[in-house]
Amino acid sequence: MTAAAAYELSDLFGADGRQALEHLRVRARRLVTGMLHGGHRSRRKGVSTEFDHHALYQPGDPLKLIDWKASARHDRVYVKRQLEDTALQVRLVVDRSGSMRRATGTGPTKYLQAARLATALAFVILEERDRFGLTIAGGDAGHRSADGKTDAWLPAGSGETQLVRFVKALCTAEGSGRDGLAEPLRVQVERSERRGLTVLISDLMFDPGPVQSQLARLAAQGHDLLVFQVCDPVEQDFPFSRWIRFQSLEAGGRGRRVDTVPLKRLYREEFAAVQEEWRAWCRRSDSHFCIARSDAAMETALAEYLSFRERIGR
Amino acid sequence: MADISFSNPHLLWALPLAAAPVIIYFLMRFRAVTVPWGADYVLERALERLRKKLFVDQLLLMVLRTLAAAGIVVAIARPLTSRQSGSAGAVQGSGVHHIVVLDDSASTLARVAGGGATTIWEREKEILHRLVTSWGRGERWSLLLAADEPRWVREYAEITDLDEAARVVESLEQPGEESAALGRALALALAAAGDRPAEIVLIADDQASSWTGAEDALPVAAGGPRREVTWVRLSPRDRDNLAITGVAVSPEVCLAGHPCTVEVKVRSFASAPVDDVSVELLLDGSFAARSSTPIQPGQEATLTFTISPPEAGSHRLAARLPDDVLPADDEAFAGIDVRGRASLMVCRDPAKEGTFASAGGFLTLVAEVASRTAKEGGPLVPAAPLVVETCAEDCSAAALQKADVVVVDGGSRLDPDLVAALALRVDAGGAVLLAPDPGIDVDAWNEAFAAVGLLPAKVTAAVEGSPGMEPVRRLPGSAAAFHSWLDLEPVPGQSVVLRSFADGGPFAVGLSRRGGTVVELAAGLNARINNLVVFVDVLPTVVDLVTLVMSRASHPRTVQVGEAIALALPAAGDVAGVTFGIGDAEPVPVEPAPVVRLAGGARRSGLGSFLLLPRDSAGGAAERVWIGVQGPRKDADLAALAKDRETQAAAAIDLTTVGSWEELDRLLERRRTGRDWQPWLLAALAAVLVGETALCRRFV
Repeated sequence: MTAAAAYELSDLFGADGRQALEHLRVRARRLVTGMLHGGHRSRRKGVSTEFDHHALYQPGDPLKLIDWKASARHDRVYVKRQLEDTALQVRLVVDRSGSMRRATGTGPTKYLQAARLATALAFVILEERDRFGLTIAGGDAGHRSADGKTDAWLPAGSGETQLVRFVKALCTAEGSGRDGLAEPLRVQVERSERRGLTVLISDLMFDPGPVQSQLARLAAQGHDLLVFQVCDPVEQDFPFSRWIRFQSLEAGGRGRRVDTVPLKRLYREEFAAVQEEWRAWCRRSDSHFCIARSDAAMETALAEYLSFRERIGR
Repeated sequence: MADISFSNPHLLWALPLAAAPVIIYFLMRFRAVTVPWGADYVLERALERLRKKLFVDQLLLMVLRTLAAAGIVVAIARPLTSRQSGSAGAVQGSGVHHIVVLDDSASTLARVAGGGATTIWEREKEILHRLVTSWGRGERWSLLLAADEPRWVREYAEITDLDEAARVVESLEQPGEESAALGRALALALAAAGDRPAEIVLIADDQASSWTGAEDALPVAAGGPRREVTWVRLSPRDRDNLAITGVAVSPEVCLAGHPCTVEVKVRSFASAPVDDVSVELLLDGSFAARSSTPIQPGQEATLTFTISPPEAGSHRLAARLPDDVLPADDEAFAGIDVRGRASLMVCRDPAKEGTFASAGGFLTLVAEVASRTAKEGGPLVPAAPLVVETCAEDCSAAALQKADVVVVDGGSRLDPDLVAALALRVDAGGAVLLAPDPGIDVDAWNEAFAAVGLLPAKVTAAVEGSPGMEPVRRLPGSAAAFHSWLDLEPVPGQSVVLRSFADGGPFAVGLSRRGGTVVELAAGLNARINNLVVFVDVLPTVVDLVTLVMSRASHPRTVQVGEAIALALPAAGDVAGVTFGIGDAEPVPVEPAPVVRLAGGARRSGLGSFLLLPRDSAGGAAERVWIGVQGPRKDADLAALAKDRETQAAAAIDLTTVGSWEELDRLLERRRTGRDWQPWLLAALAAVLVGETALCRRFV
């Protein structure tokens, strides 16, 4: 990371936030006990002790996998295949485009709310000894990987060190560019990471087509998907009744004078339509869609999600 | 072809206000608040829909708002269409200035023809009210009261509220004692009209005297094509008006139970003789006397009454004629001050000795006889009126202060200190009666009193009679006979001869100074040489002299309109407050003082009164002192304006005469035949506003 930190750690969580996070952690542990570490049976073949089936020996198979007893009985060389016993791998994709810099009054920016949400999830995952990685998409001040296509990429890992790296990456200065979530998602698809949970945290203020296409590819690879939309209260409620000059946070600061009186109803309808489109897509993709308003506590959104998981038993 | 005009065309200058919605649009756009925005994606989608669906609506809304603003301006300008081409049609609308000249003279209190008890003034207000309510909001109007001095009540005022204009009409006060100068008032109205289109309405009675001098005041051919002068002519029920022109009480300060004279003057303004004019006199509201007399047209008759108020105090007198066409001048009032008794201090000439030779002894005897006769119920002396004290060398100023009247007896030896004390007494508002007899040193007398300004008449000669001789000089209507006397020469320009001998020579000469008075007699009040006989018959003469002197030292209780009113308060310190009121008018407070004054007097005739409020409520009830205020009756002649003069005025100012309600209604109807588009325009505005509201609701 080369950019100066935009946030301190104390910005992410105050005393109340840490207390709420502890509460969430306990709740999450109860929810995921027996389901995460040791409980995630993968179809990938691994080195665990749980037997799956026999297979004919192929050149290159380790000799230690040969089941000599079975080979003797059937006069063919068989190797044992065990189910892999893996830890859950969670990839958090956080939108850091210019639109995420929007804040209402003294409230947090959408990005700060997204960062809090991501950190809280990471903390819960860390407690369960699972692995988590981070992709920060959008903006022009973040890391660039070797291929130069992803703004910030933190490989999956676990442990306190991983969490520190995770938080440091999030605290990097906010971006100001246009939304570009499709590209880092495409990179993730091409990386063919271990299947796991992909969490997208964004304000979703972009054309959903390319992003939904990449998310569909991830789902096809076996990833579970979770989409958090971070909403600014003013952007959602549109409480204007006069002429407003809307200065874009993305498109080079371009301003647009608009009489909000005739626009108010249409805007609200369109905002609700965007949310409904995403909700419908997530429903079709067997994914989950959550809304996190920046004027509400981050824990509220996370608790709602955990309650939902608890309800459906997953 | 319909002719479109506007009641308030100058308001059309406000038409550029129709651009207000567009200006507001750009102003609000210019004043837009900058908001950093992240939801561009949603904003773009919403704007796209706005452009597709609501652009036309917004444009329509802007047009509607512009139309509404223009419509409001036009509606306030009040468009009218008229198909008339005559002057009546031309003068209405187009910002016409309505000027009403209202007759505010006393004659308008006469009963109007065909109106029962309704007066011309009340009918004038009805007509004015109807006129005002026939005008429209935004029009201009002026109201001029035509009295001796025309007075503007409203001048080029805009009618914003018809109720307010009606209240102005209602608040007009009843006319005073003035006459009307209609010519001057019309000239003022024409000048106020200027070059603007004007409608001048004169509401006045047809009294000839109101048009006196109109020919000189009115400009010739003042009327124009866009100016109309209409006279709403009102006539009194009849013109046979009788008026009481004055009530005089003599003396104004009476002694209780003793007679005083009331003279009532009645003038006939009728065109025919009246055989029996009956005048009724009321004392404190109760019938006191009645008298009647025949009277010729234009004649002023005087009826004399004699009344004897039985109780001391302030009383009110009212003289009343039978009800006629102008009730306001059928009654007149006077105030009268009745004293229980009069205290006399006789400054005796030390040279005089004997009961009958001096005024002190003589007056003491007269008072004693009167007192005895009063006890016996004698017909001539109903009450003991006089209290007599005597001083000689001890006549100090303090001793003189206590007496109602100080009598200077004789005069053969004049004490300079006494003369100075008398001057002080007069200057303090007191009454002094000089009663010299032929024994005086004429030159010394003249010189001593002239030196201090207390000599009403110079003594030129002394005639002294002898015992047994026949009386040679008498007083008219009195039993008093004088055997000796002095010849008096009143001081010109200062003195007034109050009583005369039967032969015309001055008997009593008065001189007033600083509220006080001194009266000089041409004979001594004594029985020396049979000058006066001590008999009860002389008492009325003595009482008359005493009350005469007291009246002259008292402020008048009957005044004319506008004449100063004054009242002496002997114990001003005991009075907490003084108010003066007349008729039904609200009493006004007057600053308590030894002599309270109303320099401007009363503005109208009637019965007035001072109310004296005691400082200590335990000290007694409030005392009321009555003041009669009499008017000049200068507008009581109800003779009608001659036809030729009316024609002359009509030619001068293009005068149209309206003589009845029907004619007035026809006139108003003729002037309002044009269609007023304001209600329609307002209805259209309401529809536009409803449409705008409906459009706005689409955006919410």
